[in-house]
Amino acid sequence: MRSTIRLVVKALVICSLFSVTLVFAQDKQDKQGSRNAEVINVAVAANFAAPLKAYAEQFSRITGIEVNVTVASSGTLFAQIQHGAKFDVFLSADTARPQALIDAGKVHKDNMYQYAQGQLAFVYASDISPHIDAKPHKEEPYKEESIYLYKLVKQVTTTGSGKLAVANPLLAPYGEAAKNTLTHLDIWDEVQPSLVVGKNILQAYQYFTTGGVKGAFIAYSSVNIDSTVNTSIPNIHVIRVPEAFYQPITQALVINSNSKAVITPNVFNTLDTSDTKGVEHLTELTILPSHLFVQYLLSDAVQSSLPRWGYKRSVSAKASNEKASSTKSSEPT
Amino acid sequence: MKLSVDLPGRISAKISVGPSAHIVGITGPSGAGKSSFFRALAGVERNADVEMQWGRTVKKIGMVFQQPMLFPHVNVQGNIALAQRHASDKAISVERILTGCCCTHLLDKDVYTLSGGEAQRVAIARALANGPDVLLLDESLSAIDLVTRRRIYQFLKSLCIETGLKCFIVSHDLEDLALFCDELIYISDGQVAMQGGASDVLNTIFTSGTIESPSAVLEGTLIDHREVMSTESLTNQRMQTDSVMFVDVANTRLYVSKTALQVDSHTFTKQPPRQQTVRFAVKACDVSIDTNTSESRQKTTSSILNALPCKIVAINEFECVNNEGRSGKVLLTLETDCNGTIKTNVPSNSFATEPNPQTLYASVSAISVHKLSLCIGLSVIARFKLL
Amino acid sequence: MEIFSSITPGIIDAVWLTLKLAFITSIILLAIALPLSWWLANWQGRTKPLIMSVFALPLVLPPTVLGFYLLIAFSPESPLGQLWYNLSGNMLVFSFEGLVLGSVIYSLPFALQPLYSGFVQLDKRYLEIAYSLGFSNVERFFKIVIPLCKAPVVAAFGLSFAHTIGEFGVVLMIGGSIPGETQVLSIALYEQVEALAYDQAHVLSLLLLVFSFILLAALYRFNGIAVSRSVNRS
Repeated sequence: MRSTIRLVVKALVICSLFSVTLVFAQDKQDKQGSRNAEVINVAVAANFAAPLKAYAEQFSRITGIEVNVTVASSGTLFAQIQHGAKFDVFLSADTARPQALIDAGKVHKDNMYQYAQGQLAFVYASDISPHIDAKPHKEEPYKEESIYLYKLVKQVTTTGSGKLAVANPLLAPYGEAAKNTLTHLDIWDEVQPSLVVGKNILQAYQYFTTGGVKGAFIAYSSVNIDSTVNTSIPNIHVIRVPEAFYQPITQALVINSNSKAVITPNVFNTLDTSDTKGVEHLTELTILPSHLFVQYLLSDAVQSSLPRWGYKRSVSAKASNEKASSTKSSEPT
Repeated sequence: MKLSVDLPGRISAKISVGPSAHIVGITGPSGAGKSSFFRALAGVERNADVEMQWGRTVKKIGMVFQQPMLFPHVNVQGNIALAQRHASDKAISVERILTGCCCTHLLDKDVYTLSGGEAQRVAIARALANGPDVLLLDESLSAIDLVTRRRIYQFLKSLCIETGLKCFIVSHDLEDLALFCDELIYISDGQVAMQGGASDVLNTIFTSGTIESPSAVLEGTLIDHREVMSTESLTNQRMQTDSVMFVDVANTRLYVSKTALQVDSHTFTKQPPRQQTVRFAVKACDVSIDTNTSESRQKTTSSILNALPCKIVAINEFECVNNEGRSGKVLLTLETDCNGTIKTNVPSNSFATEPNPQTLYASVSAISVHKLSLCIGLSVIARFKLL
Repeated sequence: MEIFSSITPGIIDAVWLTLKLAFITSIILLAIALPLSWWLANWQGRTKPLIMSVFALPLVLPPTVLGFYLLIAFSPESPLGQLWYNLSGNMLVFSFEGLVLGSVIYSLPFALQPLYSGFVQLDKRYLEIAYSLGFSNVERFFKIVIPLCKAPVVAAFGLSFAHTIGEFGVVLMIGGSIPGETQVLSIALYEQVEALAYDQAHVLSLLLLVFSFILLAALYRFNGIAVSRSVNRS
């Protein structure tokens, strides 16, 4: 028995030594590696994580630059960056935090760019609204919609548990948007006791999908993948909240550097990705990898694909593209 | 009483004890299974097969371990109180118990301040306060000093006579067992090797020569001081009369200190001295043999006070320690010669009016046996100092 | 100090709620863990290691994982949630009662472990003496076992209490952050940090830290006294 224990202890010691050496070797290799293959570290707010990962993959394929993605809440990432976290790009869910980084002197004042606009949606279970009229009228824009939404919300708060989920208005722009909407409908005060507050917009959606609440204000991107509502969850109904009901959810990013980033002209807008020569030409440019990535995100190709993810293209990106390119095509919103 | 305990791997014992036995001793080498036997009787040994025929209703069996196991979260008084919670109606008053166990002065003390002996006393008192029908003491007095120990045994014996309590005592002190037990059981290797009357079993044990210093118990009647003073011209001599008592054993006057005497009743003074029966123990190593039986006791030149006429009934050699060669020591088993006069080689024929002969042991060297030509049947004088 | 001017009624609410949750959880845990650990300590079945592992699971499960499954289990669409709704007319999820239940599960090993160790180390002869003195099993448990195991009992209560005070992951998943109902101190702290309200966050953290420290110090001091008293000279 004793000899077995001794054997186990010896094995454990050897394994730990081995793993420590491995770690050091890996570290060394990483340092070596970065000389050959470039890597950038990107931090993204949870709600934009899925589209960003897809874009990062495409970017790596085109440019050969590796992208490490870290997903967390905007507040957490902000705090980390403020205290020295080495992210190259930070995609927040709002504009407040990137602005706060600029104000704190961490980031050059011109390094903030809006990259997408979020859309607020309202989901509700199928046992809500059996008696509500099907569709709002187009003639009086928003009046019918507001009555419709008003009735939905009221019914949610009086059915079953009577709880309605939102993201925390103090922390998440989608929560703030939900609060705007409910205020617009004149029921914010009334509905307050029935509110269940999720730490972020994804949690609000989670409360809905696990049956804790019968209705929730969520990010449209949670249910809209590829322009179709995600029907894998049964008994779900979604309506997009009219934009007039809430302050725009502008999502901005910052390049984490005190020197101004080179974003214009956007090389991807003039690039034909099927042209391999053009692609090779990219790597000879002296643009920093992080700047290149942001350019990619702000490029026409990416921006016009945002609706597929349930987002709208950012206003300023649209504007800057208009400025840069000579042609402008009307984009469907 | 018939008891049968079967605990596989530890002990398998069938015991038969006479109904008049108050205190039953249990002894034997360490690890023989004595504690397992007790635990099985007390009902705390799960795998034991126990059959008990007490011959009367026995509802409570009290047990005291060698470790006192006093509850540390209460003081001494608290421990006694806990025992009183479910006391049977056979329990006597707590004051008497505490006095009998010599722990009245310990009542307010915390458990962790007690010495080993004090704690053991309290443990016994606690068990008694519960009013058991049968009390099992597993080496429970091992840390108590000799005098207090004997007092407690004395108290237990009187309690047994008064209330019908039965005590079973495991002890390695054969002198204690000899003094107080009515019956004795010898357990060895998980089996009962011997059982029966205490003196008989002890005799068998002693004569096997394995015990280094056997003790014999002599019984006699207490003689009043004043009688002695008037018959002997001892008044002009300085004598310690307070602590020395005179005991009549086999028609011989012996000098025994008060502390060595054990009585069968509560106190010394309750009965007229002449009828009081007392017992005391005599160690074999304290006894020497004098073959000169003709010398008058009055004119003895030896300082040894006690001279008891006896007859040798057995001679056994002591086993040597470590089994190396021969020990050179011999155990003589003697029987008291009940004739008043001391004669040599006179067969005793007056047993009808005299008390039964008592056994005494003497430890002498083999050389002396040879020198004095000691043999079975020889009448001698057994000499031993004041006890 | 200007930092204390950041103490709002919201913080007081959160403090009170946290203390209430910790206290109720610890009491319930004691009531559950005392008989459970006693049974475990005296049981020698073959499946004992398996059972012990099941009870130790909340120790190794990430709190958010536990919280997530509790969210599903407490939802009104699950059997448990429905049962609760039928019995009480209220929801289990997003309620104080739900937090209590979640905390009890989450902190169960912290109550079980000290009690189990204490009971296992208790000299069985005390129990045998009590049995021979005529105590029933129940009486023996309350009059002998628990007084002799005071230190483990206090440790179990103290650890459950401290652990519940610091509970975050589980509450985050099933709480819903309702002020006065489920917005405990750790959640409030998290929200302050997220909302960049660092002043308030500092106050809350200080409160949490000081309170936990005092609690643990008291626990250790009590344990130290209890241990030195129980040294048995025999």
